[in-house]
Formats: sequence, C-alpha cells, structure tokens
Amino acid sequence: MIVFQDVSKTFRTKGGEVQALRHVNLTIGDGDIQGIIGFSGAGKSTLLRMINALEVPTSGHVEINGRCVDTLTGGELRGLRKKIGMIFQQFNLLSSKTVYENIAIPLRLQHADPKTMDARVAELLSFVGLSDKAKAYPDQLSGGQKQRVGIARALATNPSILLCDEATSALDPETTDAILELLQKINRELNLTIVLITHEINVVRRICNRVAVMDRGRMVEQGSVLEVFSNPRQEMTKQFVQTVIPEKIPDSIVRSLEQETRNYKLLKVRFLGETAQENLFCECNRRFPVETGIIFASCSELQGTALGIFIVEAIGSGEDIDAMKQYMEARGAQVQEVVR
Amino acid sequence: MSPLEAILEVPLSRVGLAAEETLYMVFVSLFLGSLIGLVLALTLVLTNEDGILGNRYVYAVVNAVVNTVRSVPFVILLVFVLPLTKFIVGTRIGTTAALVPLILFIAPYLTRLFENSLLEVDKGILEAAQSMGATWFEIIRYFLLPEAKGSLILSVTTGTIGLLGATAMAGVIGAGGVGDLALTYGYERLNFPLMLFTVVVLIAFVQIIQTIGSHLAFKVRHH
Repeated sequence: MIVFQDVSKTFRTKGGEVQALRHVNLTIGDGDIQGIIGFSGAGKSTLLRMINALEVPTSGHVEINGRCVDTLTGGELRGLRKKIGMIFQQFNLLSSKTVYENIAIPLRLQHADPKTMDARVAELLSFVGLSDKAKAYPDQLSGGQKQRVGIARALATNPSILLCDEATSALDPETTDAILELLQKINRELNLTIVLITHEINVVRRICNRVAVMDRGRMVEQGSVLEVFSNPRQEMTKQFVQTVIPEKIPDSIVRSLEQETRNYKLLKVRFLGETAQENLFCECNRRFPVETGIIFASCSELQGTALGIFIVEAIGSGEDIDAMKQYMEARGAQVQEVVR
Repeated sequence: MSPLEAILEVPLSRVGLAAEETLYMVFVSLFLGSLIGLVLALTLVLTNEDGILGNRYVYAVVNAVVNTVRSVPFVILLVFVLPLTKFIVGTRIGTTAALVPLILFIAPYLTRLFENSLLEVDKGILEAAQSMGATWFEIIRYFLLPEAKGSLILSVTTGTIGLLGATAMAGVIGAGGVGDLALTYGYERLNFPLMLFTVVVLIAFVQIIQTIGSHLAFKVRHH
C-alpha cells in the first residue's frame, strides 16, 4: 500500500517559488492500477517520483507498506528503488547497449551471476514478446518495441510496484493499446501495483481501476474509475471524462429544441451496470402522462460495467415530470435536470 | 647520403628521432592528461547544479582551477612551471621534462571537452539509473561512460591534435620533436625544404589521428 499524507512540494527556481504539490492525500492499494491524470504542470510527475524518492516532499510523508520513504538514504534508499520498477515516456534506454544488455543492467547492479542473468533476461524477453531482438540495438527498434524493452528492464528485479511516467504518450494509438494490454497482463499475472501518470483519459479508461485527477498541484477528485467516470464532480474531471464519454447535446439539436412550444424539461439520465439493460423509458411512458424523446445517447464500458447516458426531452406537466424523475431514481438511475 | 638527406641537409635519423620525441610527448601526456581530465570532467558533471551529487563548493573549486590553468598561454606555462618540473622530473630540460607542462596544458583542455561529451548524455538515462538504485560509481560505469563513449573518443582526438601543436613549442625547454626541428634547423638556418618537410609530417600526423578518431567514434555510434 502506498500512502501520500498531506504531501506538498515547493521548487525554488530563479523566477521564484513554484508550488508543484499542495496538500495531496492519496492511498493506493496493493494490486491496483492507479491512474493519475492532469494537464502538464499539474504536479503528477512530481507525485509519481515521490514513490521511489527521486523527489522528496517539502512537507508531508510518503509511505510504502507503512515505511516512510522520504527519509531513506544511502543503501536503504537504493534497496527500495530496486523493488520499484519505472518506465518512461522517452524509454531512456542506453543507445550504446543491446536489448539484452539494457535488460541485464538492473541484474548487474545486483551482482547476479551470468547464468542467472541469461535465464532471467530470456524469460523477460519472452514475456514482453521480443525474444528475437536480444542482439538488436535500441535505434533499430520501433517505439512500441523500445517500451517493451523498458518494461522488461523495469521488471528484471521482480519489483512489487511499477511506475509509468507517460509510458504511452510517445506512441501511436495501436501501439498504445498493445502496451496497455501488456501492463494489464503484468498487473494480472505478476500481481504488480501499477501507478501511471498520463494526460490521456483513454489510458485511464482502458486499464485503470482507480483514478486521481490533479489540477495545478491539487488532487481535485479521486475514486474508482467507475465512480469518477459515471459521475464526475469537478469541472476539470468533467472536461477529461467528456472526451471519452460524450454527454454534450449537439448544437443542431439545441437549436431545434428552441422551436418546442410545449412545456418540457431536459433530463440527463445515467444508468450503471444492471439498470442499463432494463427498459426504463418504456415503463415510464406507461406509468406517467409524459412524452419522452431520446435526443442523445451514449453507452460505454468501464471495468466490465456498462455506463449509459441518455439526454431525454420530457414533455408534460411539471409535476408529472418530477414524479417520473423520482420513479427513475427509485429504479437506480441517476437523473439530473439539464439547465440550458 | 640519400637524395632526401641532401635536400633536407640533416640526417634522416635526426628526423626520425624528432618524430619519435613528438610521439612520446603526445602519447604520454595524452594518457595522463586524459585520466586527469576524465576525473575532473566527471567531478564537474556530477557536482553541477543538476548533477546527481550536486555540490556547489566542489564544483566552484574545480571550475576555477580549470579556468585558471587554461588562461595561461602554453609557452608561458612551459617556463612558469619549471620549478615544479624540476621537483617532479629532477631536471628542467629535455623531452621528459616537457611532459609536466604538456599535461598541465592538456588536462584542463580535455576536462572541458569531456565535460561537454558527458553533458550530452540524456538526463533521462541518469534518472533511469537512479530509479534502478545505482550508486554514483555504478552510474558512471554502467550509464554515463558507455553512453558518452563515441563523443569522448572525438574529444580525445581533438585534444591529441591540440597537444601535437603544443609539443612544437616545447623546444623552448629543449624537448626536441618535429616542431623543434622545424624551428632550429628550418627557421633559424633558413632551411626551407626542411621546414616544408616537417609541415608535411605534421599534416600527416593530424590526418592519421583524426581518421582513426573519427573511425572509432563512428564504429561506437553505429552498430
């Protein structure tokens, strides 16, 4: 378990002081895939680097399994780092060394004997699907292959935590998918806790089970991906979530609604999981003297659960619409009136 | 007397000895100067503001020493350090005596060249090294030096050619060498053919050194 306790960080630069983190609290459970999302400069990179103490907090503490990491020094600190793998946006492979040598470096640092090293590197190469590239140099590999080497190198010492610093941001969408699948496999098969920072909400949606949203050094929202995506509270979170789960009414529809003369309300209805499969609208029409027209709908899958979002034009008297709203909520949907 | 000796008006064995003296001075001072230069350059790179061992006092001292020695022109350095030369070598004159000022000249020069080569190494690689729990010594050995190798070879090449030029001046303290031959026999006796010949020899030296250096650097960088 990784715990951030009221962590703040101030950098002193020539232009004055920069507050990179402000009172951040976050708990990451064992086996989680924790996404940390934010725009550049949000402080997510500083936060990630505190887990292996490449950065230390100005105030507050970072603990791993109850052990404070920000006060470690010397051999203890290096011992901790050997148990935490890290991969990078720019891969950070040694261009002067072969794939084999790159993956073997962490083992050399542990003074592994050549036989153990050979066996371990072969095992890692096969795990990341690069068995035929042992003798290649990084500049002969594609971006996706380089990141696979980075992953193999990070896993060499059997770490219990993997830190991913924008690991897919330099890759094209297809390669990104393949790398994310590999990370998921690592989480599942090797039971590693993965902490990844990204500015791409799609990455979070694809593999994370927990998400934390950062804005200018503050942790503005956190929770399970399902909770946060189905019901984003903060403006920043809504901005991110909207790009993968659209819920904005197209302008042409807004214009056509202006022609409507009858009394109506626009309701945003969210279904999660089971309720998404039931035919709630049909039931509503039968029970209430309200005409419902679906003007917008989207359905996405998060963590194996379906999330449906509908924007419904409900035409009828105010009381009838309110009654219908209550009925929908009783049936497990979240209903929100859309103010235009 | 061979026809070439007749034109040069000096025995070829004298020319051969001069070449030998030059090569001796260049390679001995290059070897020791490179070692000192590498240690100082690593110190500068590791202790600078962004370095993994950031220490502004060590950095400031090394930086100042390197600048100070570099600001003395070689011909002045030659005579200025004579007492030191006497102390270390036991004599003020001769080829071996010239090694002391030559090393003092080339070490800070190579320090700057090496510093640039080492700074070219991507900061991300050093961060990766730290994330693996490497000690500073392991970072130098497994990350910094291998990654900077190609560039370091080119720096040594540039330094060697600079050193070759400096040895010509070492004649001032009777060090001999090709440059000295050109000055005493060629210039002072107005022996133009000899002067031309020594220039050709020096050009050949430079070409050979540069070709070898570039070739090695290319081989290291392209697999």
